[in-house]
Amino acid sequence: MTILNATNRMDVRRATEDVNQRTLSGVHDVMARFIYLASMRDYNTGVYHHAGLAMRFSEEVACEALAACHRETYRQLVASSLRGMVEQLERYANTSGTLPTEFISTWRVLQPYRVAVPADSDPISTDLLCSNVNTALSILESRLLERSGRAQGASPRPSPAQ
Amino acid sequence: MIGLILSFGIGLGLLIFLLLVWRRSQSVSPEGSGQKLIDARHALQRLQTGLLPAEFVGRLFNHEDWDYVKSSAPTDVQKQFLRERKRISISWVRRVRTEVLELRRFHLGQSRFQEGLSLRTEIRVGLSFTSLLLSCRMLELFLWLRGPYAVSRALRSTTRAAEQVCAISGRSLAFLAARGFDALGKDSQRLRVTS
Repeated sequence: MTILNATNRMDVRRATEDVNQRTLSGVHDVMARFIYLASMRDYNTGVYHHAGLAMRFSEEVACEALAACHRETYRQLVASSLRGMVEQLERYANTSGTLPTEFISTWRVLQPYRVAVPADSDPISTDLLCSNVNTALSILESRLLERSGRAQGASPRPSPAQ
Repeated sequence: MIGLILSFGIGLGLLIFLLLVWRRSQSVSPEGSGQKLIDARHALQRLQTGLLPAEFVGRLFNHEDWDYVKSSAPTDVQKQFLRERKRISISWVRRVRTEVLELRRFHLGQSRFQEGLSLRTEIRVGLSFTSLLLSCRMLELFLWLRGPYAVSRALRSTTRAAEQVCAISGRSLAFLAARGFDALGKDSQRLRVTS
């Protein structure tokens, strides 16, 4: 971990505001922000990259600012209610461009939320988040099954003559 | 015969005294003190920023989540949810206990460095730690028996006691840091790096 001097700390604060205003304000759900910020991190080095931000400030400041945003988003997500989590996950699935059933099964298998947590997060809070996402996925799945069951029940049965 | 027993007793007493003095001098080495200070600071930080914030504790034991699961999830998901919450809440109280034990270790070793600490205060601090550790054990038992949604009173008293202990530890750590124990911490880090 790098030790920042006072000037750099000011820059990090400005860069964090920049990320919040320019980038994250367009991403409304905490879940979507969380996945987006995690995707900015190199999984081999743990360093966050953002070309535009690094141009305006520096690589180091951009990395620290993105890490701070990621930690804050993670904190918000852990504090989200289960109802809120289900709603967010549903919206995220709808914008992912895949079928909801496919989305749920992929998330069940790959569990992307596990690798998306910030590096220094507390294991208990990570455990709570993963458990909540798992429950939210189960609730979404049961809703989908219910809807498809209802749709099948509502569709006209083929007549014996057909 | 009585004289022999008496001199044996005095000899034994002297031996125990010397042993205690030796142990005390061993435990106040700069490296040990610095390391204990660092460990205690980390424990306090983990408690204050990770485990005890009201936002986190409130979410972990929030009844609304359970009500929502009951109303919108099938039975197997409800059971799974309850099992998970119970497991996480027990892990949480165990972690709180571990961090409090770390702080207590620091207090037992370092309290004598605080000149202004009277015997009365020392006893009071000791009692605070003991009652908190007992509360943690009780809460763990309640969680195990009743689950996370029927322990609100025990939870409240445990978190309140933990906050008090954190405040006491925070003051001690600030006091010792002001007395230059930070330098010892740095020394001990340097010693470990060079050794």
